[in-house]
Amino acid sequence: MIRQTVVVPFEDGMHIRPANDLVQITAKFRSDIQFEREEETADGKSVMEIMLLGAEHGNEILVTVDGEDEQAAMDAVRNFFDSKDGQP
Amino acid sequence: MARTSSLRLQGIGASGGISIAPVSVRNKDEIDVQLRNIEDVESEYGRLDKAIAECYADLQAVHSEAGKMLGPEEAKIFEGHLSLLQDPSLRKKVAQLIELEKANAEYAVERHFDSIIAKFEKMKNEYMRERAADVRDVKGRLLRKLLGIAEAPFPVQTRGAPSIVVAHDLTPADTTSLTVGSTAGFATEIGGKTSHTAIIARSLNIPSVVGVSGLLEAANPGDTIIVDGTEGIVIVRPTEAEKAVYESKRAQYEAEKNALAALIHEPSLTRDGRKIEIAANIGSPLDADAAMAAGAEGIGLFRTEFLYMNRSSLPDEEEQFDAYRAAVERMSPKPVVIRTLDIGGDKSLPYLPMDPEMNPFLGHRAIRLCLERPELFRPQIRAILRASAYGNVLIMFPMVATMTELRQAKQMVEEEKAELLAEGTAVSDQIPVGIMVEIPSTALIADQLAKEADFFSIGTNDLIQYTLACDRMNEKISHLYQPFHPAVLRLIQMTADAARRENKWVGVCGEMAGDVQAIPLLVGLGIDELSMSASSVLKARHLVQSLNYAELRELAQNALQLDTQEEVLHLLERSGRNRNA
Repeated sequence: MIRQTVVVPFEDGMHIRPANDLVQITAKFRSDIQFEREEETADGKSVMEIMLLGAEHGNEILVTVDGEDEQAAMDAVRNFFDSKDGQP
Repeated sequence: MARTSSLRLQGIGASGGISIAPVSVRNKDEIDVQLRNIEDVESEYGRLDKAIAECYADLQAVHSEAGKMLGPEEAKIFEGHLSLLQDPSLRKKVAQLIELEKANAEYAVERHFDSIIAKFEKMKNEYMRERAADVRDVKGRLLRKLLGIAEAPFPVQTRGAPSIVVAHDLTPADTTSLTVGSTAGFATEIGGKTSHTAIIARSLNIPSVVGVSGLLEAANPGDTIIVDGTEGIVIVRPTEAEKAVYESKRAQYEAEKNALAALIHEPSLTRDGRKIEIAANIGSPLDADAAMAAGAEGIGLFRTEFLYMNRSSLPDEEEQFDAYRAAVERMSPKPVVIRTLDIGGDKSLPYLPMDPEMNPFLGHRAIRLCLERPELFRPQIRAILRASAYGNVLIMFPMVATMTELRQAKQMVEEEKAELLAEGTAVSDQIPVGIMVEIPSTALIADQLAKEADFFSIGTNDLIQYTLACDRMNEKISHLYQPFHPAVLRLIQMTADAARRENKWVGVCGEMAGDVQAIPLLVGLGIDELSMSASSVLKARHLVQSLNYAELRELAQNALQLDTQEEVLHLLERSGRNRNA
């Protein structure tokens, strides 16, 4: 299991478009992916739960990945948050 | 009881322009969901899955139509809806409700979605809060499918006379579908500038007002209604006099819009042929598109602070490079002036602790901070230099007060350039390096600085504040914040003259650059470039094309001899009236 913190780069926060783009990435991995912000937890493959984190621009999100392809999944998630427009 | 008199309502202008047309009320189809106790859980799962699959197919068709109408970027809203439908948590949670409560699928869908909508509506951020509309849209689709209520065909082909759609709220699908055919405008009771209705209306150029409370009670189907999306005003059942006023406003708006739109690709030449470059100020690479669409001839000020703010650690070179490159590529071959970090004192960063200061505006900030903290400055310089290989880049240092600062900063640029070239990284060999002129000392030695800086850009906001020793945030002394004070004008003139003698160019990137009252004066003082918000570009070009440079030279010389700001303003007004006469 690996954990890392990422920062939301999107001007308008983690709204429907970036959440959707993110899920297109997480869905490709077998590992369980979880996002946490403050008290909220989201399944990394659920658009709805990711949006419900209510994460705004600059907020930190704790990412936990657990499974056979965890390193690759974490790298992909990191890349997503590192690239400002959310395009890999 | 239907009201009959004229009624003026204030809302929020969401998309500019004026429309006058009959009301077409779009009722919120309230779907009545009843709880039924079910025995056969499996068969409810089956109904749920079938409804999800059918909605998915419908939405794919909507997405493809929307892509054709709005372009792929706006159509992404519907990709989001497709994802919501496919969401593993949706299926799981609704199924749990069906099983636990032995409830019918409709009831479970409504319960689940309503709890989510409530969470969205509680969010602090307006943009996030309005995403409740997306969830509501998907919920409506699923419920209609489960209840066998036909979905309105998409897109709706309305016929007949144009009408203005009035509703409590519109979902993205509503807005998109209604705009095909004869929708002349939108007015809704709720929503803000960032609601999807607003975004889509703007991208389709349909006048819209949102957030008009009491609208549905006031407007009856068929009533005439005026929507002024520029002012955010709705007038229900206007009087003949009001109609006449708005008809002429509309004609004027359209005429101005068309006249300005015709100028997008035109150069900004005065009547006697002096070329002024009209550029845009941007704060993120995303703004470059709007600048291009607005007809900007370049970016005169790219503020880089956005990269550093709202985050917990310093942006690295790679992230900065991506941002600069994106803006530079979008604008290429037009120039992009990238201003290095202008931060300190009043704008502090969580990862960059700074001592509190008595006078942050006179303190440890901008180039002063950057020269002292190479670990902050060098990655930014490298990122800018690397981006220069992708277009037309200029570097600009903020808050330069002395020649030494300029030399030190240029030295760092040279060092990083040499290093990058040694590493085999491409760097343009044509990167002008200039400075902001915003401190009186800089203007006073502009003749010397012009020998070593490639260009000047006058930041009028700070220059005024420092020249008159007037904190612009302090209301008690706001009368002293005088853009047209002869002292400010003389400093601008000194800077412009110094630049001209060395064959360098000089721009203005403060608020004065986009001010129609100031532009003739700035042009007369010898300014070559004006950089302003994208929305002012075409108006400024229109004005410049009506000016005569030779006359303005004289006007400016006269202004410099006046005693007070009031006298300068009188002179400008008089000359403006003569020009228009």
